[in-house]
Amino acid sequence: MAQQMTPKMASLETTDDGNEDNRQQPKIYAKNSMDRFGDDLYGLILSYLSLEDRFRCECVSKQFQRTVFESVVDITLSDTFINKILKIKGQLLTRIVIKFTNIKTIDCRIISEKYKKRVPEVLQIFRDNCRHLREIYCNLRENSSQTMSSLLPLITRIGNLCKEFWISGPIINGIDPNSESQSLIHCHRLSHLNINSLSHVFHNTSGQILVNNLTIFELSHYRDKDKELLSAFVAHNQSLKSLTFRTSTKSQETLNEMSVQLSRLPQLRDLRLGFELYSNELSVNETLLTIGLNCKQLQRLTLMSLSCSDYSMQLTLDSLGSYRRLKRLQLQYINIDINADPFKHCQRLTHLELILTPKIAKVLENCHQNCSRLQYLYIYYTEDMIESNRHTYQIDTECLSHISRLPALQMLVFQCYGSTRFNDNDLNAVLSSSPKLKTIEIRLNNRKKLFSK
Amino acid sequence: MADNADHIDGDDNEDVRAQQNLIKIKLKSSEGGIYECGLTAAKMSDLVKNMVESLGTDAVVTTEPIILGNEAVTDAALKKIIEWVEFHWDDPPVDHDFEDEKDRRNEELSHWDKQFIDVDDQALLFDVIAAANYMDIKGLVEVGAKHICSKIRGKSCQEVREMLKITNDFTAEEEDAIHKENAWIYAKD
Repeated sequence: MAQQMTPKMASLETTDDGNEDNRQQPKIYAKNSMDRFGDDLYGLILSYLSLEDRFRCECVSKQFQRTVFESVVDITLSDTFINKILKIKGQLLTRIVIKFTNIKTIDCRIISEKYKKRVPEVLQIFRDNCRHLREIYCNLRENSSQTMSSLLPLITRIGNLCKEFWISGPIINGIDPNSESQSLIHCHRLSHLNINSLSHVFHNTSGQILVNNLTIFELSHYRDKDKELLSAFVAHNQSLKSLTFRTSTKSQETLNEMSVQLSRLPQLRDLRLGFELYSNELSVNETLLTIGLNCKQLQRLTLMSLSCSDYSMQLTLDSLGSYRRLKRLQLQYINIDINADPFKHCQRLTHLELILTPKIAKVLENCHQNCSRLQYLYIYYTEDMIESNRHTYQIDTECLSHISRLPALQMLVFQCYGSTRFNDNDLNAVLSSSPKLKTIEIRLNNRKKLFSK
Repeated sequence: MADNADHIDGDDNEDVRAQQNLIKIKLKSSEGGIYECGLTAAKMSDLVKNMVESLGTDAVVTTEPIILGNEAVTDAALKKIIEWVEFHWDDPPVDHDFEDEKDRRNEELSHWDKQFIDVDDQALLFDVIAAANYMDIKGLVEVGAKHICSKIRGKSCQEVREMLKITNDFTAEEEDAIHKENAWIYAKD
């Protein structure tokens, strides 16, 4: 075509890696050609490709081929990948696995029931061919102590740790109920663990504790009877930095005892607590106060009421005064006491997430004075509520005006099901009057809409 | 008070950073253009940061501009880079106690970054990436890399070559052999 532009020339050289084919290349490349990059940058760029894309595009060019697998440091195995790789026969499979020369970590925690039996053999092939392999993230299954015996010392993470805090634990169990506890004792380097019941980390006959020095731990169900197990667990895992706990209880004593145990974790930085309280008499205010006074490193706190049918867990946020370093707070289904100027003790907060918080306009009223460092605000609400309460969850223009006064706010996210009581103009007004706000994201019925300056 | 909350973790740093960004320094492109940039923003470049630290802030502010000699640092690329650091310098800092390197790598680009990096002129896009790499702005190299990888996603070899103007230096036989070896990736259940 006559209109075609002559490419601008650049004399950027690729790094000479001594490869003969490379040396014969002219050292001038078009500026709009990816050929201009040296191997280091080329590989860095390709390091964000999926496994499928890497194999499909391997023969784009020689430079592509020699950099595309070098940059793979960790991989996550999926059902489809396992299914495909297991159909490969003999030598070819080894040739493919050898391509991952620099692989350090393999994550296979999302493999479903259907393929879990095949996981050990796939891991063994990687183990035999990738000499840099150091860490395996994997769940423990029946017979793990036999099928995975040489792999167990490499396991550092068991069970999926969700970034989001859900009402129930993860769907895929970290440890199968009928897997033998012996497997766990061979995972010397285990640092992340997610399990359903505390009894899984104790030997089923001797009662000996099987895990030490964990960093991140998530427990789906803490029960009244787990008191002594928790005490032993805490004593052996003083290194815990992040803890997720869901507890259902009928007794205040359980809550108090739990807070005493958690208070013995000096390194704790991130705590997520879910409460299912079987009586309106129970209160978690004291529990929170004790933890805050003792775990002085806590920076992130998530509180959730698990008995969410009536959204009745009343909470004054006064106890947060004892959390001196608290930066991120998430409240789910919590009915915040609005009479006591709720965020008066939260001057250091940078992130606040409110999920189904009643009387939201009142809650946010003095936020701009109390939370002068707040950078990120997330609010989740829905119209699909008990009819009489519905309006109290809604974001209205009054709410927006409170929000636009937050002095440090950079990012505002509303997630909502139903309809909104504000329009695009209202949001643009928030953007222009708010001093630091960069982006508003609206996730309305799963459709994303963005507003930025 | 030993445990005075206001002095924990030095997060009054944020105010210092904001103040420092009011100080403007000059950056000079390889084409000779001189552009102003806030000090805190400019220090997102490890190259600039090291220069400022070895020369001293006062020297940098009062004297000659910092010269960015690499050919990729064109006027247009430098303007884009300054736009990016001026937007991102006050991002919440990465907290290594919580954020996993792996999580961050898998995270999708923000809306702003997507719009920022989606430039029609591929020569400029590559200049920005190469310049960011030279200036050692890791966050921006990552934005460029994720953008390119999102464009490669699902495409055939030939489509990738055409899009990124990559010269195919394989013979037909070599290409065929690699294709055969990787045929398993296309297998249906």
